[in-house]
Amino acid sequence: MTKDLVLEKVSKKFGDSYAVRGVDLVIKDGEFVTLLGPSGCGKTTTLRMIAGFETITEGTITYNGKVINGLTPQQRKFGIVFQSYALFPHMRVDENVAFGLKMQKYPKNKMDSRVNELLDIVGLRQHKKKYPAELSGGMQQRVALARALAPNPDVILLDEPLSALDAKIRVKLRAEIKQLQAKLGVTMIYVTHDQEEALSISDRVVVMNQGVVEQVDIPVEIYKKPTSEYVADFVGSNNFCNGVLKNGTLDIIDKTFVFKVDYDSSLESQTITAAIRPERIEVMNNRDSSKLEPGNLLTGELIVFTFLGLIVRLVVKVGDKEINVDMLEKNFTKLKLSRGDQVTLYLPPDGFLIFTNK
Amino acid sequence: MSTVSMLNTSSHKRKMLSEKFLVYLVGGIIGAFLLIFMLLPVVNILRLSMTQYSTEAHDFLGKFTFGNFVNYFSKPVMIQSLYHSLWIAVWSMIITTVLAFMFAYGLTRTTIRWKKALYYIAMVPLVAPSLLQAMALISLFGSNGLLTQLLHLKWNIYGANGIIISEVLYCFPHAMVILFTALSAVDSRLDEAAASLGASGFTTFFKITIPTTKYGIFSAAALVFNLAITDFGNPIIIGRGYHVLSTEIYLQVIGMQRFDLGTTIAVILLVPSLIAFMLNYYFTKKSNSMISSLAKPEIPPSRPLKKAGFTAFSWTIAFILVSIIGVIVFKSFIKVWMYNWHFTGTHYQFKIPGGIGVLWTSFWISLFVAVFGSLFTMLNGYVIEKKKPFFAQPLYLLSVVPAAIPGLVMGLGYILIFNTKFLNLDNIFYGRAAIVIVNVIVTNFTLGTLSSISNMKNIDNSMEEAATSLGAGVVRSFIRVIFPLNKVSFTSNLIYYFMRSMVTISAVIFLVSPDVHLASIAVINLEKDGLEGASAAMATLIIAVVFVTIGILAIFSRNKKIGKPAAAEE
Repeated sequence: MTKDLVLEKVSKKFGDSYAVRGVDLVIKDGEFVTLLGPSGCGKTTTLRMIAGFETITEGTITYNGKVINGLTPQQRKFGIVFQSYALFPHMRVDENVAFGLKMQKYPKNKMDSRVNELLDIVGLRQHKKKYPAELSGGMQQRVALARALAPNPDVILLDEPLSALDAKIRVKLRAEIKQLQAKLGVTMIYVTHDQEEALSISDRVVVMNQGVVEQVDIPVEIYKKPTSEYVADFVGSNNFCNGVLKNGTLDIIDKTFVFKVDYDSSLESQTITAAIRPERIEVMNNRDSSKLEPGNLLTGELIVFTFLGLIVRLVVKVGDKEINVDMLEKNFTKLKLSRGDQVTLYLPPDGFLIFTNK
Repeated sequence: MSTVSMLNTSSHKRKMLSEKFLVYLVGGIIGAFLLIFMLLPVVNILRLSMTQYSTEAHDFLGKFTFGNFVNYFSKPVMIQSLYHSLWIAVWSMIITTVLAFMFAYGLTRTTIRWKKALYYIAMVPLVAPSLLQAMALISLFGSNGLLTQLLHLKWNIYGANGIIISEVLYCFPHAMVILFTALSAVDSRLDEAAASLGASGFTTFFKITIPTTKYGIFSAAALVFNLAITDFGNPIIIGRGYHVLSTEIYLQVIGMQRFDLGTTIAVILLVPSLIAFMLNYYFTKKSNSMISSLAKPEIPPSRPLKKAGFTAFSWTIAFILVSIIGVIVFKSFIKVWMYNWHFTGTHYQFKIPGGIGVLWTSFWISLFVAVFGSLFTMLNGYVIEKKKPFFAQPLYLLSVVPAAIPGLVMGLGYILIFNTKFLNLDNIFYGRAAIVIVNVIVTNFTLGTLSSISNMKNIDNSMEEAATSLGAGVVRSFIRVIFPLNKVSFTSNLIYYFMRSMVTISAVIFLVSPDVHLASIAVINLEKDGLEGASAAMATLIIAVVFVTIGILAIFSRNKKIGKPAAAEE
């Protein structure tokens, strides 16, 4: 039997309001799953219910075939890594790592080698006699990781472990965590509000909003095929517009544009929200546009452009609408565009995502 | 360079110099103030304790001697007061710290209800003079106490046990505040981390909670030790022949005119009190360094039994603290306690010199103390923290020392130096209200300055730089920027100083004179004269005045809430 963690209709009420409502989720043994969402979406509460720090109002959490609702955190034996590291400030690094082993009554003669083994994994063996306050934030979080791993738990829960760190260290450490997880085969449940982090690190991403799961999928699908307007907006960036689908076109509500759009015929005559990612929009470069859909060609004024490294983000004003467009920096430079220039954009019919308004 | 810009530079230089001069002046005045009114009296006591004294002439003879100390340590009756003081202080320290820790733990680490109410109730003892506890205990458990008679109790509240219980009740809020801060400063997720690693509740408590708050615990313990060993009001009322150092000083000086023994015992009292203060100071610093900037207090729901236990415990303490005051207020309206239970207002017609006027005297003296005390300490904090002149360090040292000096010692120091021809202060100062005002400001200088400094630290330096870059001089940037940003701490210092001034006993008991009677001293005198109803009435009036004044100040300072800028919160 595999050690899956299963959440069935899990809800949490604080007073009269739901913080988490009806979450269904199966996390497979050895999987890396991220709970992604803005603050207050219920992701941390869900994690804390799994950890045993919050009681479960409704539903069941099953691990390894057993319902664990009534178990204390001690009995669940899941490792936890906190945003604030939560290292014991009065203990040295090695004492912090050994703490869980001591609680487990780990054999004393093997304790040292186990602690060293873990400190080697996180690359901090030379700092074992230091106190947490003497280490940098990134080092502290490595110690916290080693401490959580020491008792050899099957599941590690990470609550925004990197959000207190600098951008550079964040990216480095998240790659390390991912490698470590793959190597040890431990199940990791990771909470973050950073969509880039979630997409880069996870096997699967759970996008949450207002206590409810919006979408569960592998990162690529989350990005390419968001199933709701909310996910499309939260993950990556998008240009949105509302309109009615008719005869293969999208009539924008205020009648400014009529786009040719690919869509499922069942959506005919429905009022919908359409979205197109900035990188799907093309900037026309005196290219032959006769074979393109004329309705999907827009001309507007370049009002701002922002250099972002590999790409450049353009804001083009068409009528009273501002459209975000991403293009490769080298192409942008070739065009020699400057502020106030007229730019022609092409919005390909297959670039649109369609969301029915519920 | 044109002449115009050269002129500008020199006028700029002049302005900088005059601003520097102003800061030096303010810092210098405060420093001189502390030297004269704090250090000098204490050093003088030290000198006199080693000076020969004539018991016939009731005067010091000016010859150096260790005789006074030899005298003290050779009389078993005398040494007893040292043992007594240490006994009282140690037990008060242990009991208070344990109770206050449990109370603070309940407020910070459990999900009991009505936490705010409990916190404020715990602060209630601060509004009454430190003899109210003894008065209430006698009314309840004395030989003719209400509960003694009702329950036919056989134990004896007078002496050591009574003093210890009084001190515990009096010191409770002081310890609670420190422990509350220590407990809320430590990231409560440490507890969760321990739980997730398999530690039980008890293991977590003893291996994580206690060790991470140990400096807070030590600091609270040292403070309680200091407060208990220097307290005068409670032991004089409930001690009944159980003499401690502070009461011994008073009896030797006032009763026997033995200034030699008074100063000697004062020095002996100074030693443990100074040590306790230094320990408190050291541990407070240590404790502050444990504060995690990422601390995010978030309390998981407590188990029902734990919650019920802490609820019962907290409300028992709260009930006792409120009862202490309730008993006294009630007693003030009873004709003759235990004999005639009719209600009466006659106790409020005080037949003492000054009559009800003593309350008025206390009130306006306290107003002076509050305004000048908070102003001085704020300026002091500003000079030390923001301007950092070359004498910032000694000034800081002078400012924190007052807390180490027992009020009684300071009071004795005052009469010994300011009734002489020193600086000609005797005419304008001795026996006047001014001596009381200065004394109370000085004895409470430490906390005011420390709170001002910590507040100044919170004000971003760029704030004043912004004001300067916009053309404001040091005076204007202080008035328009620093002062408004300090309003909250200024108000809390006002309240603190006012409260201390209304209830203080030990510092001013030597300073009252035929011209200056104080309400808190009237309470002690009435109680000693057996006029328990009247003393309860006076205590009630003090408490009422403190409550009403705090209420008014709180209302005035409430309406404007200055939010901290986002950057400063990080």
